[in-house]
Amino acid sequence: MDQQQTESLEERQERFCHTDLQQPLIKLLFEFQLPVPNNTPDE
Amino acid sequence: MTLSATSLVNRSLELVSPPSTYTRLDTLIQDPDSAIDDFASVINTDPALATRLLKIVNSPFYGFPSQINTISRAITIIGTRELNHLVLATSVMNAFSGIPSTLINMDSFWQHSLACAMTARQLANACGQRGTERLFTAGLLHNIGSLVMYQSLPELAREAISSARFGNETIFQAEQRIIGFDHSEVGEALALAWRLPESLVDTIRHHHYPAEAKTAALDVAIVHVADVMVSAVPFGHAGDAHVPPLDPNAWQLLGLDLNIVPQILTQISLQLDSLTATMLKT
Repeated sequence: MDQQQTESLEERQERFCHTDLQQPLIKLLFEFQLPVPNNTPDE
Repeated sequence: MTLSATSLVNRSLELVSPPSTYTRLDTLIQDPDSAIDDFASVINTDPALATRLLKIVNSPFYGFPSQINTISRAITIIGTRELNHLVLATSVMNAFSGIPSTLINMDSFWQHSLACAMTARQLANACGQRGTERLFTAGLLHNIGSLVMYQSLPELAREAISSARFGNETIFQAEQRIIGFDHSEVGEALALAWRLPESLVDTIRHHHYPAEAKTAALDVAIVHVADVMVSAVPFGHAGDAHVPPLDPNAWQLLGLDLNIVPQILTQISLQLDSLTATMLKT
């Protein structure tokens, strides 16, 4: 998951190089980002 | 003699013994006269296994409100089939614990496999499937053939990993070219040697080519899609950092809305670290 946070567009394209980005599921996965966890400390 | 997937597995069986407790429990499941005590007796003959199972059923992954202290109680709560799939999962993870970290990061391998297992189960639930524990196991074991290759053909496996990483091939294409067969064929041979269920054999063999599934087309399609999903995030990796190609017909077969994909991946991200830690440290 750390990799995802620091991944450049080029690196992501390289990771998806065996897939067809026109396929709806692949397009969604290519653009998907996990929500950033809320690390706000408790009061 | 030319090496084949089957001969490699036959050669490796001395190193990777069959999951005998799983087989004995599976026989009991088929017996209508068997009782919970019979299952518990089989599991309790292996105290290390019993301890691992109790740690897993008491983990946040299951989230039961009170402590489960005995195997009999665990069987009552999660059922014999679910528990037996956990037996198979933990036995396999234990059997391949000796692979050197210089070849592959095993924590990352199992994180990918566990993410695939959890995702496959959630997709199966969304599809309205029953007995979805088998999809968890199928997701967990889909790359089991890779482990035989890492263990018995480490130099060739290293060459295939390197080729897939720096070339234009998928890992299974690199394995085919360098070794002559790929991890799905080795996994199939191992699953047959271990007498695992037919649907599991089919899923392990065809998870990269779901159109070739023989007996469990939906199970194969689910694990194929789950593998693509968790490779895309990514949650760990199993030797190849690339996202494998998707067969769009497999996704169509599931009949699901795309909106479910982010929901499942987000939920997996919240549970994965905890389950991985529990499964790897027990």
